[in-house]
Amino acid sequence: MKRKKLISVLMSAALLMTIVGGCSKSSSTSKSTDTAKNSSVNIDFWGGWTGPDLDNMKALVDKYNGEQTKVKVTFTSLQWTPLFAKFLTEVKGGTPPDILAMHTFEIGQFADMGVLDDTNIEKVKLTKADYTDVAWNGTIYKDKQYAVPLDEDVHGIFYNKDMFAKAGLTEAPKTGLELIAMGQKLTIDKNGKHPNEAGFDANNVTQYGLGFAMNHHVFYQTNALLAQQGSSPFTESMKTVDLDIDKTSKAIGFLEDLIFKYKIAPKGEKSAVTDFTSNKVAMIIDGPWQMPTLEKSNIKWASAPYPKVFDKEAVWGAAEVLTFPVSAKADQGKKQASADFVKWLDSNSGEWAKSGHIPASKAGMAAAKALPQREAFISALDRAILLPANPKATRIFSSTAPSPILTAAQDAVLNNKNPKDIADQLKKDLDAILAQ
Amino acid sequence: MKKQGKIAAIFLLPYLLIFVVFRFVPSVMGLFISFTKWNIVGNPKFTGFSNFKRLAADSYFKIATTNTFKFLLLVLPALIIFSLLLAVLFNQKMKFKNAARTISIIPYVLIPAVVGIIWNWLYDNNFGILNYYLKMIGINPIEWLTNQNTALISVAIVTIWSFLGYNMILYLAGLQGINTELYEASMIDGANKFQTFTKITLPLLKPITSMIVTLTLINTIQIFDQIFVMTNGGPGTSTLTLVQYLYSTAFQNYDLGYASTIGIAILVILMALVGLQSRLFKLDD
Repeated sequence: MKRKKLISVLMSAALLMTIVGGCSKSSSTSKSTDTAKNSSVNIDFWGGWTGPDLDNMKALVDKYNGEQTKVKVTFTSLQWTPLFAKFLTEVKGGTPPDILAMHTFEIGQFADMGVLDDTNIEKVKLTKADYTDVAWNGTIYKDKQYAVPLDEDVHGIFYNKDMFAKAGLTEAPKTGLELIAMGQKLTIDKNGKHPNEAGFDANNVTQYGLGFAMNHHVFYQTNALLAQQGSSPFTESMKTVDLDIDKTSKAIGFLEDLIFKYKIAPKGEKSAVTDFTSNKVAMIIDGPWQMPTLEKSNIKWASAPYPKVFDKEAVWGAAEVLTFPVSAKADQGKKQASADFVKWLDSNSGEWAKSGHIPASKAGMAAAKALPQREAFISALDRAILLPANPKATRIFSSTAPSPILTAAQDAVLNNKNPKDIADQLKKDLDAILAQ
Repeated sequence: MKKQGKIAAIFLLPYLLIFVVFRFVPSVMGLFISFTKWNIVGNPKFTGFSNFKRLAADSYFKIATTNTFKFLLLVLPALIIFSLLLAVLFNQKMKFKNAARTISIIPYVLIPAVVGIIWNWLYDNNFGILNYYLKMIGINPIEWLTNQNTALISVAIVTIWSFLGYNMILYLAGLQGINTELYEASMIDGANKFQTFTKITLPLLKPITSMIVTLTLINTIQIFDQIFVMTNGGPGTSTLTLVQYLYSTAFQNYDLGYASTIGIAILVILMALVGLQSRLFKLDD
């Protein structure tokens, strides 16, 4: 009995020592953290890059950390949707990142939630003249600047030079009619026939003329085609959508016809860039972020601006920006360090151009121009149509179901529904969300 | 006996703590949040039953519920019938039996997201291997994941493929637990193989079947990963399921109050189904 008691006393003592030891260890950790804090400022920087651009941003952060010792930047990357959910959770917990990347259309929602700090922008000391108007205006919401411009993207055409040469084509299409004609020349079935020839076998196509993402990017194209007809239905303050049904029907109809009438694009294409790099499609409509992937591939390719299908030149565009989340714990030193890092990123944005994204600063853009195949995208930036920073933008422009724009896009390119019915339903669904 | 009870309690305590902190408290909090409007950042604002009224009129919730039940009807019978047949087959004397059993469990141990990615490529409309073989035998390609009429069925096929091996193992354990003397006695009485199967095997496997039905109900009503990876709820809303809708409401729209209401609705649906299932299986006893 005594022995048992002795064992239990010894075990209790051991347990106690473990706990005390654990505590003392954690104290020493916090001490070393304090020491580290005295020597350098730690900055958390979050972004949603997950493709080849992630490596470029990591390299930039590493370069900054290597160049100086006063600020230590820790970079975290997740897909955009979980990133923002994590961000809001951290805001609630009082530990948001110091810098958060996002798209311009997402600013409205977060600004209205009160989680973005517009006061730190001044510390970056930006000059409007250093940026394109599209990039600069995208950082402003309700007359306040909430972000620092980082880059801009627009849709463009990538084409396979060997396939073009084989078809006797020398340059990319500039208009909708040229896109259809060239697409038909480049689409070949197993018997070598084209879609505009009798006996064409649509179920056994060996090479398609055109490919594009059959998701929310179909809506982005629709929006660009609306702008090409002089219609801009989406605004920052809209309470209902002023959607021109006739023009929307024409835009949707054009995209539907590429698949179902002219048969130059594969229905339900999963990954346009994969089909392009594996020589299954001759042209794709996609963004400049695909260029690092194309550069690593074996195909000979070139880029061209998005075609003019209707009366005016317009193309879908998006811009990525850097914001400063509101943080009660961040002192002036930390805020200044965040601003300094963002300023450094801005002045080194020529390096960011290697990711395919077109830097928003004119200096960065000049560096991008020196890189191959960027010109087609840079030349289109002045006619880019960006989605507005409406507070409900992330809902109305959501890329996952249930989403009005996704339903409209897929009703068009997968179901070949009547374009007018799609346009009517789209307006109804968008208005319903805006009314909530 | 008392001492044993104390020791058992000590061993159970860590799990109980984890259960209370990570399961029970969040569930109770979820119930509270379902009566509020909350976007994570601010404080929840009490809104009474407004979220529940919204739920009753929500067309997306109706679509998600219908899709989830369709999915359940596609998956549940197939998982029971095919896994039972497979278990009976692997319970016979045959060559490479152990290898076949091992291979059949592999889909279950794969991460659902990985399964989704693999099948995404197999299902590719234009250049996928399934349509390639269909074309070879003269059948027109199927729009597996891009047609509103076939997308849910295609995801259901993947789910059946994933869970079949696991259910087969459960049935196999049940089959091996049946006393062989019963089969010998029935043979002496002149019963044929079909009669033996329906009068002895099936009734004695009822507890296993009951467990498989319960697990399948829970897993299919809460289906998320494969849908998220393969279709994201599309095309349109044809594969929008309850948990996918909850996810987009909570983490895309930041409408935590309403998302919690959807969560409560899922819980009620599950409890009703599991209750119905246990009643059905009990009535036959």
